[in-house]
Amino acid sequence: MKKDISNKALAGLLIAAIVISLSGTMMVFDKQGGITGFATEQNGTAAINISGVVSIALPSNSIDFGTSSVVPPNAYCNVSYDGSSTTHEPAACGGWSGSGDIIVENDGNQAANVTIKARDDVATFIGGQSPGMFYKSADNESGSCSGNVVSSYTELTTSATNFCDVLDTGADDGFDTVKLHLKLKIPSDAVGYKSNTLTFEAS
Amino acid sequence: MADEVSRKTILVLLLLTVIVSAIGTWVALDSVETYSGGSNVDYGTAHLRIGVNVPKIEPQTTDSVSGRLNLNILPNSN
Repeated sequence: MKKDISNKALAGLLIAAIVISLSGTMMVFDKQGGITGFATEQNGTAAINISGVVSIALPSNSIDFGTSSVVPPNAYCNVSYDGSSTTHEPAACGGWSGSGDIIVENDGNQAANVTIKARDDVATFIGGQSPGMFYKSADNESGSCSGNVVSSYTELTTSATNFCDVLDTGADDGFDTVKLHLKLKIPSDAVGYKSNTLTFEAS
Repeated sequence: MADEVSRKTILVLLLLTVIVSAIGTWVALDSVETYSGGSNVDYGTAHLRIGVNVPKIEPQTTDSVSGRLNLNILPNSN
């Protein structure tokens, strides 16, 4: 005859069930003891705002016409220098020789309108009778000035005048430089050491 | 028999088992949803947005540089 389970055994099983249930609950609490922050997806957003900067520099910033004189009977010497070669007129003015360079570079992140002006006017700078100070501009790297350069010699004064109205930023520091060419008319009655400051302004 | 557990006691224990089990399960599930943000019971999706704080730089609209021009004129015989 099949023997039924006793009430005592049944009670024991129930007590065991209660103990197991309580233990399971305690284990859940114990296991998640800290805040896990469990996330299955994380999104990051980075925002950046790059401001426009108009900035120019002079990688080469000085021109020196050297030391010489206006040889009699000439009334003046016209000396032109393009940053690499010097030309003279009349031929007797061959003692003047330019050196150095003035190159304007756009090192900002916006195209710039660049002007030029002199600190001293030509009478103060060179002196004498009918002195002259002229400039023109040309690409130092092809296509640097996508606007207008000054292609023929123009009087250089203490007022700002165009040097390059759209000097590009270039890519990887290329095609963003314009070179200054200078021409001085030195009269025979001027003498002494002469110095002037040329200022380039960008906007 | 005197040593047998009564049917009444068995019923009380059964009822107690059901109640304890139900409460334990409910508390555990509630706790998991509240604190863990996901579990093997109920997976949730948490989104985290990270902002980068970039200092504001005022735009520069003008600039100025200067170069030098020199020459030395010697006296002549005139």
